[in-house]
Formats: sequence, structure tokens, C-alpha cells
Amino acid sequence: MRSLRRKQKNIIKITIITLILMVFAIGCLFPFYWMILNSFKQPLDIFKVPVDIFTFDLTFDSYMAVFTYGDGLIWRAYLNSIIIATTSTFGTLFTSSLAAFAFAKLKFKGKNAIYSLFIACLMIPGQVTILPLFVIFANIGWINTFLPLIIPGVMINTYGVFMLRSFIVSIPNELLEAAEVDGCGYFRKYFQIILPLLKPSLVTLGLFTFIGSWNNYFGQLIYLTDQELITLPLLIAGLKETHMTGIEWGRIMAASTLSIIPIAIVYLKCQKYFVQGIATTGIK
Amino acid sequence: MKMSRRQKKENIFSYIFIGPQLIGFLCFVAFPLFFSIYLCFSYWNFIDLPVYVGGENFAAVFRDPIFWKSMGNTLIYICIVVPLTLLTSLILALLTNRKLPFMKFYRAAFFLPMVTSTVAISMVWLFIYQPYGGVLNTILEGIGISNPPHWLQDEFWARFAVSIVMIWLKIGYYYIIFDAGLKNIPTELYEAAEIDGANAFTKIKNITLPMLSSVMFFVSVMLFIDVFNMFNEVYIMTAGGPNYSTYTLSMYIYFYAFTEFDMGRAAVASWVLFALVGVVTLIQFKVKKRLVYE
Amino acid sequence: MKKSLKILSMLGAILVSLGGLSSCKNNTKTDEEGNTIVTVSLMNSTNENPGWLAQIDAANKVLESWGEKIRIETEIIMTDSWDTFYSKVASNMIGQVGGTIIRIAESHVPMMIENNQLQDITDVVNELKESGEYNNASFDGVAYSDSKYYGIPTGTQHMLLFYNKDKFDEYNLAHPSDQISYPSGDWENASTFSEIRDMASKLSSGEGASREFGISMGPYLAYAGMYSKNNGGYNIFDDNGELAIKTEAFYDVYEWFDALLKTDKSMPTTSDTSTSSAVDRFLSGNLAMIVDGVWQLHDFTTLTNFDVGVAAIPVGAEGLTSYTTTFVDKWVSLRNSRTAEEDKVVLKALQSAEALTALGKKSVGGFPIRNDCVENYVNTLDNGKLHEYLDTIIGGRETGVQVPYSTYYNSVDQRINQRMSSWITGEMTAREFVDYMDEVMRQGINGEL
Repeated sequence: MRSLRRKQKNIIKITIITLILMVFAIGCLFPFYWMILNSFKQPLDIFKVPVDIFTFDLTFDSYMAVFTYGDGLIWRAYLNSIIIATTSTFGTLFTSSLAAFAFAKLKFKGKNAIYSLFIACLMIPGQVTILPLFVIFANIGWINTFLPLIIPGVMINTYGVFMLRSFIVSIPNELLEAAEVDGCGYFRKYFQIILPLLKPSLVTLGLFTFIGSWNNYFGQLIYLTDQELITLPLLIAGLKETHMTGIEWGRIMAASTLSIIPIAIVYLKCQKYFVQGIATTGIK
Repeated sequence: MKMSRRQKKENIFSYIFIGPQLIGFLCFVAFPLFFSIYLCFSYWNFIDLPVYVGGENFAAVFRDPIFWKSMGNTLIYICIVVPLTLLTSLILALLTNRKLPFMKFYRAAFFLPMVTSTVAISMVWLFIYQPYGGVLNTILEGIGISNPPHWLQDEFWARFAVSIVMIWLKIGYYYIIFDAGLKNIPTELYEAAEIDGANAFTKIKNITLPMLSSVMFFVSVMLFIDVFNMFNEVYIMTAGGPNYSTYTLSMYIYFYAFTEFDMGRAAVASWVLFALVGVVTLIQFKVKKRLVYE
Repeated sequence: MKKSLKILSMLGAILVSLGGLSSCKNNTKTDEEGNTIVTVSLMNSTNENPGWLAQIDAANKVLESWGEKIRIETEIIMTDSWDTFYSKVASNMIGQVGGTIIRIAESHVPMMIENNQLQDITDVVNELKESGEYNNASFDGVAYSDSKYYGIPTGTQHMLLFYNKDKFDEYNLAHPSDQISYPSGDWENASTFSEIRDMASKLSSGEGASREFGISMGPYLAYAGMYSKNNGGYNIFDDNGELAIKTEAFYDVYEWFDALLKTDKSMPTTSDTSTSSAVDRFLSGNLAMIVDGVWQLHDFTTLTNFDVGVAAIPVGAEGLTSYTTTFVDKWVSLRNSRTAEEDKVVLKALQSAEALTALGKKSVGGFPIRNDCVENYVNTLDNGKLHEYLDTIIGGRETGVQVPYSTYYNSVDQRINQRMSSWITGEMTAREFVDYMDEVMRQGINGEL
């Protein structure tokens, strides 16, 4: 009898929690629903008031407009965005895990001083450095190439070092000592022991880097000029007009939906690792 | 002090390992930082070498009421965004910290906002906040609120409207961090408390919160940094208005650097921003020592 | 101490290596045939770019016919906002990359001259002026400073009152005893403020989301001078160069806006235009009248859902001349351009008859500054629909007033626009708002912003 009541109570509790969570989940998803809905709407229906959030009057006009914009410029934009995002992601994973390994497991002169400098970097607002950086890249002739969008991210990622270090610290020293007995050098320790264990954190960091680089409109705007170098955020900006009419809104919603798809796929694929990965993020 | 061979070797390898990041730090962080200090005291037209002007830029920034207003707004955003994001993501994590149907769906839903481009999604929010016939006000009218505010056009409500978008964007990330933190708490602690007859509330108060204190510290540091850097959401939704009520320090810097071509003033403002973040983080670290249970 | 010295010396080494690399930068670009390439930066705009690109194509042909070994390329900047456009201009200057000839709005010219960022092109302007082919007055204005010229107009554009004829007709059909006439297209005898207010309130109907509005006019600083002058006052500054905002004529204008916005609710507020701009509302038939620029003619005349009419800007009382704000975007050349001399030749080619004809054919850029091209531009406008309004459209050129742009204009403008909400929501009266405009302008003049 008592356990039955307890069971009942539990069911009520779970129902209430499910309701609350559903409300939040729908709140999180609604703007996306709205965006996708409007990308399929007849352009002028977007402005219709009161808003109509249930009618799916399917049309591919907006998508067609995006695909035909500038003779299929979108494929070029996809390709470029993928090149920039993947190279900077893999580059940053490599360099920051190397540095994180050194900071976590090796002893060297000036370690603490350098590490605190790195952590202080986390606090620097992007606006402080953007123009001086531009001066550097202009002077070495990197403007109008992908390099300024890739190299700084690869060469310095304090967040990545911070996050990966806290994971590596928790790897037991015995593992490394055992490897040393087997005659492993530093590089083999890194490749054979640290990297495999680091997989979940690397996936997490990788996803963050990928998203950041994928959506970096301002950087791409100031560093890229040629039409062949166009990226998705630039393309979306190109669809906008000085005065917006329904047609442009539809196109932008379509292009934004298209630009989210790759990240959403990557995210859903890595979700499993991802949760494990953040579990140990620089908390300690 | 003489180093052993082993130590020497370790030193060399360590520097090889941190080498790329160290070089990156010097080129892409240290140099730009020094350059921007230099700009604080200079007038620069982008073409000729910067000219030393002394404290002129500082005077211009500090006498500007808009600068103080944007400082104030940044503080208001902190007061709204930091506690609300922290609380909501913590509550969501507590609620999902049990066996529930649709777990995967919740995770994906909470996290999706973080994945998107702020620019595109801010435009969607413009439509949601539309005063007449927008989604939000239609709902509010539906539940009997006869005169819902004009969110983004209202001096009082605009900062809340913008904050909600900010919270919406960030919640998923901190939710997952809290979730992971909760999973790290040994279940034995709860079992022991149950034997002592503790109810759910005392368990949260006496076990969960103390055990989560270091996570909460991390979250609040990151949240402060997020708020200090708020730009895109505000820029697209309100352009800082109405009456500068949503204007942030980042926007102030952007306006002077890129619209007014006044780099000196922008550099001063960005150093103020840097100093603010620095001071806040230092205070947080000091507080951490006293409060965080380790 | 030793540590910091080490870091500093490393930094120095990096700087030296950067400096070394910078010296091997390539200089001017040339194409396969040995032509020097001059790059022109344009803002991305699917409406206008066909015009600018046609002009540049034609200018390339002209350059060839002149025997110049110069070719123009375009850099289209992927943005829709002037703010972002200027960030790209800034990076072009810093990096000496990208476009060296840029089309910028007048509002930025004084600041860029003050910053010494623009090339002195007085010789080009003098040559054009001496040819006698150009409207010489159009060269003056903001790009003329210390007896030097720093920019060439891309064309002149002015404001007009556009109206939806169908809405007027509908109203008259429904109210046979209380007819309204179309706004006047005569610049010497324009409709008065009270007539317009009457029309606007009659043409407004509905509530909330479905409200239809009578008229939209931006109560912004850029247009304030025009309305004040149309009300018998001054264009911001009086004849002695003194600030003339706190004058009755100016107050009256804002009282008039106030009545339209708050009493009659016949003018949309920022709440109404948050997602669909006034132009959108006009295009979709939700707005009966709109004060907007010549640049809209192209879009408005291709409309199919209603007939559009064109009228003069309203005046305060009968007998007053109607003035209209004129906007003159400029072609400028950056001072650190690597192709400084070639830029000048390109600027001339862009103003050649062939290039301006190509631009005018797409009805982009407003009225050309070259006299023999004006007719051609007008003919493009004369596409049946606009025929009866040609006199009104052209007439506005005679009564143009310029926005008093200055180095502090952008800051003042931003402050006034931000404060506007306090007036619209009723926290301050129209008079108080005008006083605020005066105060900010004074701060700007005194360099206190």
C-alpha cells in the first residue's frame, strides 16, 4: 500500500518535471521552428499579422533564390567555410593539447608564470586586439587569404589549453610512468597515452572551435575580399538589402537554415562524447 | 643550481610542446596588447604613424555620459543575465538529474541555441518581440494581458528582452556543465543523507550545492566574460537603443573604432573593459578561496 | 625582472621579423596585359549594383579609348550597413589592400578630410569644371575644404513625397462629401503641413497590428533643416552661421510631427517599423504617403499593386517655397593609395559621358552631375508611369538644401536618434526634444562629444 502511494507520487512528480522541461525545450526550439517555417513561407506572408505559426504553405522559392544567388555561390561558400573551420579546428586541437600536456604533466622553468599569463588571456576582450592584429596581417601580406582566420586560432587558444589541461591533470601519473619504463619518449607518451584518453574533451573543444570559426562574420568580412573566398556568413550578409522586404527575409531565413545544418549534424553526431567532454572542463 | 640531464631534456621538450602556443601568444596577444596601450595615448588615422596626444583620449572617454551609461548597462546586464542563467541552468540540471523520458531530446533542445549564428537568430527574435502581432505579445494578449510592453522599443523593457535572448543563447552550455558536475557527486552521499531522514530540499542544500560550488565558480567567471563581450545580439536587435538603454561597452568601442575612426578613444574604452573583467575575475578568485568547498 | 627582459627581447625579435617581411610586399597590381589595376569598393546591393557595375564597365572602355594602361576592378563588400562598410574601409586603409576608390556617404567626408585620409584631387575637379560640361555647383559642399577638393559626386539625389494614388481614390469614393485631393507637386505651391496632416489622418485606419498609416517622414536631424526651412525657418544654421534650432519655425515642425505621431497616430513609430520598415509598408500598400529619396524611384515605379504619385515636400504655410534635402554621395580616393595617379584618371573616366550614361540607364545614382547626361537619366525615368510627375521630380533639384555635415555629425546624429524614443513615448515634449537637439549640436560644435 505504501509503496503504491509512493509510486503514484513518483509518477506525478515525473509528469510535472516533464511538463516543465517540455516548456523549456519548446522555448529553446521555437526560434528555430520559426526560422525554418519562414524559410518555406511565401515571401510576403512573413509579415502577415497576427503571426501565423502553424500554416506550412510550402514553397521552395526562398531556397531556390539562395541556391541560384551569384551562380551557385553558396557551394563555394560552403566549401570555404568548411575549409576554414576544419583546418582551424584540427590545428587548434593539436597545438592546445600539446601545450596542455606540457602544462599538466611536465616540469619546466617558468611554467607557472607562463600559465598564469595564458589564463589572463581569457579575459581580453576581442575588440582590444582586432585592429593591431589587422596591422600585423596586412604587413605580412596575409589579407585576402584564409590564413588570418586560421593561424591565430591555431597558435593561441587559451580556453582550449585551460580546458584540456584540467582534463590531463586528472589522468593518473602511473600511466605515464609505466610508459616511461617501456622507454616511451615525450612524443610517444602524448600520442599513445594522452590523445586517446583525451578524445571526449577534444571533441567538445573541437565543436566549440568549429562553431566559433563557422560564424565569425566580422573576421571574414575584414580579411576576405575576393568573390572566390566568400563564406556562408558573408553570403548571408550579401542577401540582405539596405531596406528589407519580405523576399529578402525569406532568403535570409533559408540561408541561415542552410548554414546551421552542418553544425547541427556534427553536434548530434558527437553528442555522446560531448557530454563526457564538458564533464571535466576546467572546473577544478 | 645545476639541472640533471633528465630535467634539461624535459625543459627542452616542454618548450617544444608549448612552443606554438607561446609564439602565438607573443604575436597575436602580447603585441596587439602593447600596440593598443600605445594607441590609448595616440591619435591614429590608420595611414600615418600614431601621434602622441597624452591623456586626451582618456579625457574624452571619461567625460562622455554615453560611456558611463554603457558601463551602467553592462552592470545591469550582469545583474540580470548572470544570476538568471546560473539559476535556470542549475534548476534544469537538477530536474534532469534522474531517470526521465525524452532525455536526449531535452539535451539537444537546450543546447541547440548555442550552435547557431547569433546574427541569424537575433533577427528571428526581432520578429518574436514585434510589438503588434508578434509571437510573444500575441501569447500575452491571449492570456489576458491587455497592454503588453513594446519590448525592444521600450526603454525599460528593452534590456530585459535583450537579456532573455542572451540567457537563451547561453543556457545550454552551462546546463551541460552543471549536469556533468552533478554526475560527479558520489551517490553514497545522498544515500547516507536518506538514512538520516533528510528530505529533498535539505539534500540539495547540504550536499548538492556545496559539492557544486567549484562548478558554480567556473560558470560565474565564464558568464561575466560572456556578458562583458555582448555585442551581436544587441547590435542587431536594438542597435543600443532606445535612448542607449541597451548600449554596451563593446558597442561603444565598435562605434568609435569603426564608424568614427577614433582608435585612441576605442582603445581607452577597451582597456577599461579589460580592466573591469580583470578586477571582477580577481575578486571572484578571492571569493572562491573563502567560499568554494574543495 | 630578468624574465620580463627576456619577453621584451623576444617581442622585439618578432617585430623585426614582421618588419622584414613587410618590405617584400608587392606594389601595384597589374594584369596580363600590363595594365595597372585600380580597385573600386562598392557596398553589396542587388538593387544598385547593376548600375555601378555598368558604369565601371563603361569607364573601362573609356580608359582604353584614352590609351591609358589602367583597368578598374571592383571589390564588392558583403554588407548592407554603412557601419560595417566603414570597418572595411578602415581595414583597406590600414592594410593598403582592397579598393582605393570608394563610394562613401557625404556624412563621412568631413571626418575623413579632418583625419587626412583622403587624396587631394583638386586638379581633377578643376579639369572637370573647366570643361564646362558639368554642374559646377555640385562639386562644392562637404568635399571642398581649405580650397581643396577631396571627392567627386556620384550624382545628386533629393527627397520627394511619394503617395499611393489608389488609397486617395478609395477614400474619395467612400466619402463623396469629404473629398481629399492629391498632395501638390508644385515646389512653389506645395501642400501645407495642415493639409498633409488632414490627409494623413483621413487615410489612417484600424488598430494595433492592422493599423494603416497616413504618412511616414523621418523626424531625423538630416531632414530637420529641410522642414524648418519649409516653415520659413533656417536649415539648422542661420545666415550668420549661428545655430538656429531653438526657433519658432523649428519648434512648429516638431509640434507637427508630434501631432501626427501621438494625437492622430497617422505616422508609424519605431514600434510599428521594427520588422517591416516604412518603405516595406508603403510597398505593401499599408502606408499612404512617404517622404523618401530619388533612389526609390526605380523600386516604386516597378510596383504593380498600385499607382504611385510624386509630390513636393510640404510647407508650413501657403506662399512658402518648398525645399528638399539633397544627398550627394562621393567618390573618394584614399590618401595612401598605391595607385594615386591612376586613381585620378579613373575618377575622370567614371564621370565621362559614356560611364554616366550607362549608370543613368539603370536609373541608379540619382541625377548625373554631367549636364548632357541629365536628359538621358530623365528619359529612363519617363517610363509612362512617372510621365506626369517629371516636372516635380526635376523641380526638386532647383530648391535643394544640404545637410550641414561636419566632423561631429555622426555623434550628434546618434545621440539624437537614441533620445527620440523618449519623445515618442511621451516622456518629453516636442519642444523639449528640440531643446535637446540644440544642446547636443552645441556640444558637437564645441568639441565636447
